[in-house]
Amino acid sequence: MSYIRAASDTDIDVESGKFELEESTSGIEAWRLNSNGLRVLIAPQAIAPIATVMITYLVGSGDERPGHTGATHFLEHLMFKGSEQFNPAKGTDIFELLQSVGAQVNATTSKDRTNYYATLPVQYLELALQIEADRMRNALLDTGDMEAERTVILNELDRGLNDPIHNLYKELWSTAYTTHPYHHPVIGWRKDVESISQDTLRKFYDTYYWPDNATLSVVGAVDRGEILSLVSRHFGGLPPMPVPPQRPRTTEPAQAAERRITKQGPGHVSVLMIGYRVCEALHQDAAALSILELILASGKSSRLWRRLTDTGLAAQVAAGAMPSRDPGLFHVMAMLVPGRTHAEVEAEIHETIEELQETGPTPEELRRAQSQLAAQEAFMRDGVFGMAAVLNEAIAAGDWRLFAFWREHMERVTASDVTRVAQAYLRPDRRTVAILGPRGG
Amino acid sequence: MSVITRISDRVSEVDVGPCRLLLLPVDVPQVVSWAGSIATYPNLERGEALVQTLTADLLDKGTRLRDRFALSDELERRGARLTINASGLRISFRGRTLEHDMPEVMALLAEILTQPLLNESEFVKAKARLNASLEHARDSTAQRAQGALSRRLYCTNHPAFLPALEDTLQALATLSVDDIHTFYKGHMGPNDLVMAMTGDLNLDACVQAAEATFTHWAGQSTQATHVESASPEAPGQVQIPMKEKPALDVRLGHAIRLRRTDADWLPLHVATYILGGNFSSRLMKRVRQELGLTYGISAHLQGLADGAEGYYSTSMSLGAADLARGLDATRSVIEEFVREGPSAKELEEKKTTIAGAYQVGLSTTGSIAGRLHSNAVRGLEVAYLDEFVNEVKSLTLERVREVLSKHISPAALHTVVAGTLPE
Repeated sequence: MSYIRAASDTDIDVESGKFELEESTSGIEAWRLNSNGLRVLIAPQAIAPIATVMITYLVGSGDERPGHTGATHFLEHLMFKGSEQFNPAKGTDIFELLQSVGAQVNATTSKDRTNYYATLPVQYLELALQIEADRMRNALLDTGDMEAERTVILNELDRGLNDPIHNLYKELWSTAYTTHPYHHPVIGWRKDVESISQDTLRKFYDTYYWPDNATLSVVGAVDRGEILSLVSRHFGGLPPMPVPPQRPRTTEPAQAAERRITKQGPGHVSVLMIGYRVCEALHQDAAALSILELILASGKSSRLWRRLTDTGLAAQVAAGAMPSRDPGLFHVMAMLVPGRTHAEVEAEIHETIEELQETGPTPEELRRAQSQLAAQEAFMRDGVFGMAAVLNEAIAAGDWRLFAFWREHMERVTASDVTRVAQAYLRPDRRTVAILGPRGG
Repeated sequence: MSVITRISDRVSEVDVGPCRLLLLPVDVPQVVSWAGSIATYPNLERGEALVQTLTADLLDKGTRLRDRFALSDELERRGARLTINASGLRISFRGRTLEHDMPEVMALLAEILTQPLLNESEFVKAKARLNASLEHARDSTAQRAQGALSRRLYCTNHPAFLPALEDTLQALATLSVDDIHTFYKGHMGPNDLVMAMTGDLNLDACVQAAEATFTHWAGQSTQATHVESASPEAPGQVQIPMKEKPALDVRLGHAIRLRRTDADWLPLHVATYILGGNFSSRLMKRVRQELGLTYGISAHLQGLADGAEGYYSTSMSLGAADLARGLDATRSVIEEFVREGPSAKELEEKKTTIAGAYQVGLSTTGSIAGRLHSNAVRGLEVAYLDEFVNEVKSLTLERVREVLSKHISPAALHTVVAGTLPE
């Protein structure tokens, strides 16, 4: 049976010109709310009578200035503390309201975006939309809430410090980037988290939390007419941003040579990470880099698994790039088997990459990677949250249609494309090598 | 608004040879997911849990028909996913593939389960990988704290007992590939074999695939040797000093005389949820939102997966400077909650929460297959998939309070703290 409700015979909001259909492709409709520019993505999915409501703001730690790092993440926390209509004093605490109807609720911050989401029984969809609309412009950002939350965030920061691999990853980025804000950790530098003021957060909020800096995604057992009507009712009265934000996204200077950092941890864990400076997600080379990622490290047939894991050098190996709005990093990560050295693992990684740069992928490797992607596309549509999460990253990278045309882009990639991007990006003068070993080891 | 129908009415249940097969078609084009397991009953006292972990790792590293690369190529060129894990007293397998590849992937699963090579060279590599994972776990405050709590509550022969990581590393060093062969021969067979499949199903094709996969499997039958009851020490404190771990992992817990299938489980589960089940629980409201002492605090019933008696546990993360305040605040919330019980309003709210979360939890083919499978392993009827929500809704305040005060005792709590302890 299908849980998707029949589409409305008439669509009053569309007919009255409140929305414009921007595009309809791959089972997703993109609408624009004319009054303020809010984009609304609607993706019907029939597995169960539930839906995910996710709002993605184009603001991340990549939009933070020195001294104010961690502002995006701090704000993400405060957005749950209350808005004019939804706050504990009124008995309408956001978490309580949403969780009381069984919603899975949370928010995350990355370098390029902040997202808030609720996956909930479809009959409560309006509640999630009301909350998002109210806190988009009417968050309280109360001083007392802020101080209580500061300790919570410092505890979160300490939890990160407990994990030496997590720390190494942060160090890798802050070494690879010197001027671009990707240098900053998403959670912020500790001294900034300790000192950031309410005034700074308020200004940050008033710069980025506007409907035309956001995309609302609704995935699930939903009817388009009903969604648009609710969005119009709750978001329609919000004004568009008064001035476009001045984002501090400088161009990172070209790297001249390899960079290296070595860290020692208290335990017995040995890890090697290499980050190569690559292109942004909307660049024409991004699809070939995704195929390269699969050939290098997806599954036991991949080259790095064979060279590192199957030979007993590494317990785990991974490679890949998170889609990013500005030129980002392609990572290779290996957790060493005790007794093996960073030097031998690093040498194997470099040799594996050099071989690929010289001879390119085999036809079988390319076919396997493209079959994996075809299956992944079907799997991404298995579950409302999963699909919304993939859409969220595409929105953050700059174009939700990355999701819609993803498979098409991948299918066009040739063996020579993979060879070319491997040669162009996985070079010594683009890489930062980060080493973690036991203290005294 | 959608009409919510009973999912369980659409489940087909078929006995295919030794396999109890549960099939549920759902509207997700092309995708098929499955979750299954067999009972293996490792002898926990003899350390066979570790042997079982290695055996599960080795199953897909080559069979008598194909080497490890040919096996992985068969799966990866279809984009299929198949994982095999040791979980307590069972070995479980989960996977997802495109509908048209399902018969071939099931045939591979059969080959992996019934004809593994388990050879020496792969064993050496698997040991080294496990060694690295255990070293990583030794560096985790959460794993060290959880393990220490379990060892205060159970003997080595209980499924919830977690051996010290140092002991596990020592035991690992002494294992040989012969131990793996002995375990495989003695424990691996279609014992209590259950598999659930959901997604874009052709029911006849599923039954045929299961027949081809399982009907000729004649492995050993095996018997349970574990104990099901807790044997707790007197309540006390354990401190695990670790360097450079500014966030302390804290556990407050005690054993409970309760199994997952007992009538008291559901009311106690709901009570625990009110105390520490989500962001709007009592513990989160007080210790995180009001006092700002922790990033996260939660309460759970744990150790119930294998039909044995489990334990109650509160988990939280605290900075060293906040340890004393955090512990005091937490104990105070637990004491008040056990003394007075939840309010009627809290119970009604959390009933809706749990019912809604249950519905949300059944939103992918994998999660539905997982739930069908775990219910079947516990001996619950298929209809329980729908009846769970009704049972939650019918709970009374008196019943929840009675069960809470019967099973949870603040005076019996053990305290474990792992991390860089305050001076």
